[in-house]
Amino acid sequence: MKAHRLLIALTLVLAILVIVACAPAPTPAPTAAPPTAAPKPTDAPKPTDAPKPTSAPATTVPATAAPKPTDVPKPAAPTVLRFRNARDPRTLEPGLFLELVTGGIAKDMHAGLLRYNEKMDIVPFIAKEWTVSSDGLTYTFKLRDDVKFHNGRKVVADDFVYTFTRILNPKIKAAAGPSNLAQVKGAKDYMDGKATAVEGLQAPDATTFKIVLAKADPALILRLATAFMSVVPKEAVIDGEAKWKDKPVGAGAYRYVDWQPNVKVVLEANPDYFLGKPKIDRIEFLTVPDAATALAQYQKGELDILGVTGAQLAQVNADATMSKELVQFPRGQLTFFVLNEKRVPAFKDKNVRQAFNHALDRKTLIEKVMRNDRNVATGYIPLGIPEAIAGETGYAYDPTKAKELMTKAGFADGKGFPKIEFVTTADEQTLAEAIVAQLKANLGIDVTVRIGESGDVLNGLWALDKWDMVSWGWSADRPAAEVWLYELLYSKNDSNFASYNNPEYDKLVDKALGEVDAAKRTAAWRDVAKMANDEAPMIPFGFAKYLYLVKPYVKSFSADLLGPTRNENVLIQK
Amino acid sequence: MAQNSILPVTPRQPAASNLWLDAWYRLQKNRAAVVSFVFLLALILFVTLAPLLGLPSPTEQDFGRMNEGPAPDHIFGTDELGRDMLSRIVFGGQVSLLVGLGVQISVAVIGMLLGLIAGYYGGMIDTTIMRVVDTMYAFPPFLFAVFMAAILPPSVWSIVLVLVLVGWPWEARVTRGLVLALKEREFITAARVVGASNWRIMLKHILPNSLSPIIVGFSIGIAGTIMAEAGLSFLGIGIRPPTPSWGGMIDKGRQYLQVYPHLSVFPSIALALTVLAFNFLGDGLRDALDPRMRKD
Amino acid sequence: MSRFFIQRIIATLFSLFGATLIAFFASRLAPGDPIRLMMGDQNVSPQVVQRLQAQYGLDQPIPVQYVYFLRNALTGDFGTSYYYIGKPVLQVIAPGALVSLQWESVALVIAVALALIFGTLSAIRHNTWLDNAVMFVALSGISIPSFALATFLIVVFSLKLDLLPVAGLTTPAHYVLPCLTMAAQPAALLARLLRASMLEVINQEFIITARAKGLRETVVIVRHALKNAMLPTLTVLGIIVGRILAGAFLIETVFSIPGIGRIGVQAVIQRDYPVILAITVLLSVVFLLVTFIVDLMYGLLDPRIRYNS
Repeated sequence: MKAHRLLIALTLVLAILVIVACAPAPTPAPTAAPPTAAPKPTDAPKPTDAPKPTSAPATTVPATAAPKPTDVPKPAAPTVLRFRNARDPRTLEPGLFLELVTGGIAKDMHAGLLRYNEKMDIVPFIAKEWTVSSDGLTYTFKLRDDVKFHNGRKVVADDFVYTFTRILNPKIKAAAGPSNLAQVKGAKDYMDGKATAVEGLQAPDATTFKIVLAKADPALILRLATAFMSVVPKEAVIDGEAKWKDKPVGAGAYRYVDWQPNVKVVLEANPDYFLGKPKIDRIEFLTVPDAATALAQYQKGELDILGVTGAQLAQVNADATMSKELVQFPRGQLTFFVLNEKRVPAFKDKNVRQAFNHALDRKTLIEKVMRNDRNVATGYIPLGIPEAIAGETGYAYDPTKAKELMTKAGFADGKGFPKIEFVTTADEQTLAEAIVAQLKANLGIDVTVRIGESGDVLNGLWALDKWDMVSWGWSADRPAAEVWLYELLYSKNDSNFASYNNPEYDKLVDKALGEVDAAKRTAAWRDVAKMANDEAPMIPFGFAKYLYLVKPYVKSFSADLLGPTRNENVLIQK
Repeated sequence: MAQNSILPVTPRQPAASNLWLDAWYRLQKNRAAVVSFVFLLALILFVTLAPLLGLPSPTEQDFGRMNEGPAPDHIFGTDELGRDMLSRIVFGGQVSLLVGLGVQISVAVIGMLLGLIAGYYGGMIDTTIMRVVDTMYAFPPFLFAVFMAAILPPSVWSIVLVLVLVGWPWEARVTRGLVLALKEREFITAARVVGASNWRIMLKHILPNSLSPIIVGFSIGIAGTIMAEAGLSFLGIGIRPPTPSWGGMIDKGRQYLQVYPHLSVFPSIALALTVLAFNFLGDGLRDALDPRMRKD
Repeated sequence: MSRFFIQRIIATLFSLFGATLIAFFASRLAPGDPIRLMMGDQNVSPQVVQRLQAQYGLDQPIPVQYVYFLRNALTGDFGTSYYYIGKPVLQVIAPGALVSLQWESVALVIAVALALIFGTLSAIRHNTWLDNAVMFVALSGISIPSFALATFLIVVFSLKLDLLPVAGLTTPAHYVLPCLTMAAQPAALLARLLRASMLEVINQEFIITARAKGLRETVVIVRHALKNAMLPTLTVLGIIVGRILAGAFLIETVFSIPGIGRIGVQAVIQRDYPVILAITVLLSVVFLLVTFIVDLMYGLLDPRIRYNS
């Protein structure tokens, strides 16, 4: 038939079109690139990039930085470790933005004065040792002299002065400066444009860095140990702008190779890393927005390490391979439900708040619905944080008592209680539906669920008067009780999302914050915690866990309360 | 008739009141359309009367029986909170059908009317309407939907409104295209010469003659709307829980495709069958309304 | 023709203006303070927030902000992204636009080719099993939400059969699943419309005349029937390009494709106003261009439509 010839012709056309369209399109696959690319000539520091003699000893700059023989492509295939990020980092400059994705990458690329060890103790990093004056106002750091930036230049004390001044510069709009260095002498004047330098940031010589405070700030050292306070070289950034001059440069274990927005960030081992070249040649942080896709990529071997959510555990546990590859670490995060007193005046009544706390069967919800993706919260301070109270039990599931408390508050069987909305994110939709059912059954009140995108939920939280009841998590960036008891519940705090206002409570917090003696401080915070528990200003729900799928060939991967540990000691043994 | 005539539509007599009766007889001969029609009627009846069917509550949870496959008391199994899947699919159908029909009827009325006016009158009226259409159409619809979802209160009607706003320009454009091709035809000129009013020409001559592509569009439109609602669910701005909707169930269920396929497969089948039925019915109507498509 | 061009250009500019106006005001009406969202869950004092708002010009009245935006946009300056710190907007969206152009054109070519083949075949073999089978498959193509189809294809072809990669867009193999998922719906839609209009054309006198003149069937179908049947589908083709652009974000998200749709949705979620506005402008221009071209083709194919009347 003639029509058949037509069909054949059209099929041919289709085939040709597809071939033509596909062939030139893909860019060369970066993953298929030759093993360990040797540093490009641009990697070497240009003489013009060298610091001015006034700011640093010029002798630290090597005249040439020609590729060393060790950088020549090795015969063995490079080892690559592939992580997933749900979204892109916002920047690769550590101090500009305090956020998990940015911080996760900063940790491997950058280095700062101090860092945490696996026991959450602060240990030397670029600073060999440090001293604090008896009045708590002067911090003196002695720096190592063998630390080099990825561009080959030595790290000197002036770099810290520059970096810290930079993140305080109002034009840069960085958050790390104002929130971490607010008490530094002269910081306020500098931020207000009244001074051209920060008086309290000083570099007496190349290996001595001094911070002078206007007001004692015992938690400063905890904040200096985060990745956000890492050092950046002046010659690699644009002064007065939140931009790299060319490509990102740090002093950490891995150096920058490439960042394809919405695809991945690629780092490679820094051969000159001052603690020894890391054992993995390359790290890739893939941006994968869809959780189901990320899991499939892990199964297929396109990812080596993948954080999973409680919702995904159903699938992970049911899979013979993945269930064996799941590892868990405790996390310094409290998940809680805000009972907003501004929106719902009934929450001003302690009986109501306690009733809500008694009405939820945390254990069953966490075990059945969330498949133990977290532990039951027994209080406000996650276990593992020094001030946490071991053996605390929190609110037991007790519907009878909950009903009694509601009756006492004048809401017998929920009568007269306003209709409220419970706001949460899509990840926790199932949990929210289960919680709403328990509140209905045990308190007789009607709660609707609203699923919001996490940015919107967060925004409503900060607005303080938008959500009646909302689920959120508050993570530690430092191991200290104040993260929860002060930031979330102190009446004058912006992040007092419940608008909880109790002068007695504030007084206790003030006392703990001002306590200089370490042992007394811990005791004071425990008093605060006990009061918070009794007052029930929120519903503490769970202490989070880090849940990771880790391929068996990845060794020594670990996470502490603050997040996955640096990847410099991770190994791949296939 | 010119050799290169483009949209060859046979002029129809204005007073063809039994045209629809003829069409009805022809429709009955189309098996796929009849089956679809019966299926959709049954479905609509079923989901409307759902509360009377004695199904388990779609929101009743049973932690002891989560993610179970089909069983005698839960013939489609249970979901991640131990709720009856059949019941959720039936109640989810209410929402999906409501959204699909509500949106398409509004879109058809608004779009056809404006397209008809624009195409028929031409000139400034056409220009004005089409500029609005182009503007609305040019605006990336998903951005528009996400915006609107953020502004409007979370309810089924907000979703209907969003989808109507996104949908009508397409209908208007298609109708206008058809009208443009039709209005130069002899029978329209003839009607005008006889002194028929503009509205009479539009409604009695042009509209019936451009109806068949629009009906195909309507059936695809309902399908498309149900799918669009599912797309909104994917973005987390669809029908809010605990109200079940097919799109929401499919999106949640696809996460467990490998271990608990019933969570996404059953709602997908429900959605696909409904969409298929609307399409078959649309095809059948189209053939029935257009005598030239009659089988010899 | 030149008058027609000028008219179209004015119309296009008008629509562009309208689209940016909607985008601008909608973005300002949407709840969510971009500065707060920029700060994430850091504890930032209200003073800092206020200062930042002033720096981004967000303390100005909305109409004033809009005028600033237009003025800068005319010079090609869309500002700096709120999300990607220090990154000009054009740098954020340009790579995405290229990626989308690449894979979406492949998808479009596949869709049109499939539609031409199966729509024509179906019409020629009207009411046979072949017609029925093709139409059934075509209908199934539009009966499953693309994000579900995408996940299904990943599980089957990447995990179970181990044939194709899961996500990304680095090798030709990466194109297969997203392009097929994308092409399914427009192909089905086009095929059905093409079949419908082919059926109308095929019984026309001029086709019968052409056959009577003894022309080969292939020539009759391709030169005469298909050419004429394509006109009504052309209107739709413009809209189909629109649908591809509009639906792409679902597929780009599931397959981790760094395209413009995904960047757009993320920008809305993050309230990255400058990026949203730039994407609106970009996508609007694409839509309007496509509409423009379709109208032109309409004129070329149908001599009765004159643009200077």
